[in-house]
Amino acid sequence: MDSENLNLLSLQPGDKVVLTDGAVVEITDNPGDGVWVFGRYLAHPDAAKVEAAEEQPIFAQDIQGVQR
Amino acid sequence: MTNLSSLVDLKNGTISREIFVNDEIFKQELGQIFSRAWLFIGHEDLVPNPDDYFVSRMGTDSVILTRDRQNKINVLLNSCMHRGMKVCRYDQGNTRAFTCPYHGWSYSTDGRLVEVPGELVGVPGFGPYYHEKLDKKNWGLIYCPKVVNYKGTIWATWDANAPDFLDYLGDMKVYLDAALDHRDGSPGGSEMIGGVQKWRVKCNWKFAPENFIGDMYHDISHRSVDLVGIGPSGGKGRRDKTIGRTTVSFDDLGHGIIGTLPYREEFPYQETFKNHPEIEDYLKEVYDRRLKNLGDRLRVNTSVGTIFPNMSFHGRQPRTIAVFHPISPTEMEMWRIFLVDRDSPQALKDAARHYYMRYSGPGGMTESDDLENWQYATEASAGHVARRYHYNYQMGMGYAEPVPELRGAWNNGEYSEGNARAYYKRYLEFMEGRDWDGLMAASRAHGEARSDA
Amino acid sequence: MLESQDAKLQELLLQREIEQFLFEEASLIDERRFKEWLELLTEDIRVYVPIVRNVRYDQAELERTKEFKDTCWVDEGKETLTQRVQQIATGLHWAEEPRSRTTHLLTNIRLAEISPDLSDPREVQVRLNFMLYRNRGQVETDFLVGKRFDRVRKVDGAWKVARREVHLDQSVLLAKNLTTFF
Ligand code: FES
Ligand SMILES: [Fe+2]
Repeated sequence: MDSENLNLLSLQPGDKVVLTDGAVVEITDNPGDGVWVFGRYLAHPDAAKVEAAEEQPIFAQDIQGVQR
Repeated sequence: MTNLSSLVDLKNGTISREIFVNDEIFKQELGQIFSRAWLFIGHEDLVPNPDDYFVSRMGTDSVILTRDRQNKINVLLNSCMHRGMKVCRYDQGNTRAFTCPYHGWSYSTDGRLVEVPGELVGVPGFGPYYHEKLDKKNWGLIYCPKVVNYKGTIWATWDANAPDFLDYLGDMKVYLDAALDHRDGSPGGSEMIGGVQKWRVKCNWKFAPENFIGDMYHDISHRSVDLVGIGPSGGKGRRDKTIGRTTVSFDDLGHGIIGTLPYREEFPYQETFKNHPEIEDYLKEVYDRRLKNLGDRLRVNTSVGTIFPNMSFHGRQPRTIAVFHPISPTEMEMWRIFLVDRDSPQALKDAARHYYMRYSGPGGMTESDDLENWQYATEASAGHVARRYHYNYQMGMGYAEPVPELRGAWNNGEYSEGNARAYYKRYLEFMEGRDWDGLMAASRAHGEARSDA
Repeated sequence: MLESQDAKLQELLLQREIEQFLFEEASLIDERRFKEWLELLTEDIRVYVPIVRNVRYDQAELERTKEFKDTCWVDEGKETLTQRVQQIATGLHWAEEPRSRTTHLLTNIRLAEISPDLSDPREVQVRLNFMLYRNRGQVETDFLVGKRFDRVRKVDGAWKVARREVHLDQSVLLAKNLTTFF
């Protein structure tokens, strides 16, 4: 599934998504606006971002798809 | 800029119709009054939980009242910083972030994510399209630098230099307390009945606060409802008469009320819900508690009052808050909120709610007639010839007596236009563009508040 | 086959009867025959008009203010309706003096529930759409449009209105007051 077909409203905390830059994010909160979700990096091309372990807003169009 | 001192002639007690119909003056009001004065935004019961929000207005601007995850109340300008889109088009709800539907900028109030309320947290393409060169800290939603929760009522100002709310209120505070405090005299304790009535009226917004600040003279407008009688005690009339009723103005602040002078010994118990015996029992018990709680402390009764510029309230029966949002010189959006004591029995809440609605609001048997008068007064004042002439505000000029217990307060007597003159005196001071030192000097000269008031 | 045709016919006749009743009832208001209009309301009549709010897709329970709990536009029974009629009759109720002109348009009428049953209809839930046009003075014009949820009841062989819930489509009311009847 690519991001064009992904309705963000279907994402739940705990779901993992892959971003277009290859990062993997675990969803922590879905504000339900269909445009952003909050999540933590599990993997990122820039390792520092994973270590920060802070919640980040993730934009719909940056999401490649859901990781199964 | 229109020269206002010739339009508001306080010496002769006359005021030009222009301030009620003129477009340019209306724009000046938005700048001089609505972007500086403390304005009523809403009630804390509209945002009881973290992430709750309620969309309100300040002047002609849409604002969002929010309670953040740290339980702080914020007021944000409801317009995206990118292209101005209304970021929140709902009336109320609960959300963690306000996301703009246009290009997706996202703003948050969560203190863990942001340093200031409404900070920009999400910018689509921040890396690839903006090359991380957008200064996010500078492009958050505009927020009110001063917000206050006063006994459940939320107030805010756009002006960081504005005095504290309690200074702005002065000793008008005791009259506002009379509406917000529990009937048993303990501080706070009122809650808002859910739901805000909002409706449009084609009148100048000032007609309403001027009316509620102390216009006993317009009682005749309500002859029809008085003849029918709608009070919860049956009989004729539309509400209970306040014992010892007069009008009091705070001339240096622009506030005023219809109600009582300060007193220390409670008036005898008055039945106000004669048609509802079980409520009477409760109210009698509340009255006894009130005697105990207040002892011989100073107190007042407020029938109705106005806090400059556009908030009015009923203090007893009914017990309501009204706001008058300017839309244009000849249109306002009026809001009404109803109050009851939080711990009162459901029977009282129900009876009060029904009474408030048959009294106030667009369906109110009392208020509906006010709205007719304000609308057609505005329309008839807009005529080219009509505009040349001033309204008359001379009633009771020179007959005010100071109220010794309250700073800067004047007793104008039951029937007087003294309160309206105080309102327009303040109006002129704001419209002249006085700074806060100039605006507050006269009231500050009265010194500190009494400790027992 | 015939049996069900009969039932359909009976329902059609009932629908027609109730429509005619509601049309007559509305025209009593529009013709300002308020006292006669009050006669068509049961003693326990309740007129209820909640406030509607703009809410997000997942907060639909907030869309209308709650009955028996929240503020609304109108929540009243026979006593206050009678008082309103008396108020207009004083000739001093400035909001309706001079009188507004109103026209009720009632459409999309459906019988939602017939009780106890079609053979002996004593109480019927009716759903309909309405437009209440009001003009007063020279140019003051209100359009109140929405859905109505009526309950009509047979009292001594004649239909009466027992409940009227009105869902207005306006969240900010675009009329300065509500001094006419739904
Ligand atoms: S207008 Fe809000 S993101 Fe463009
Ligand atoms: Fe009034």
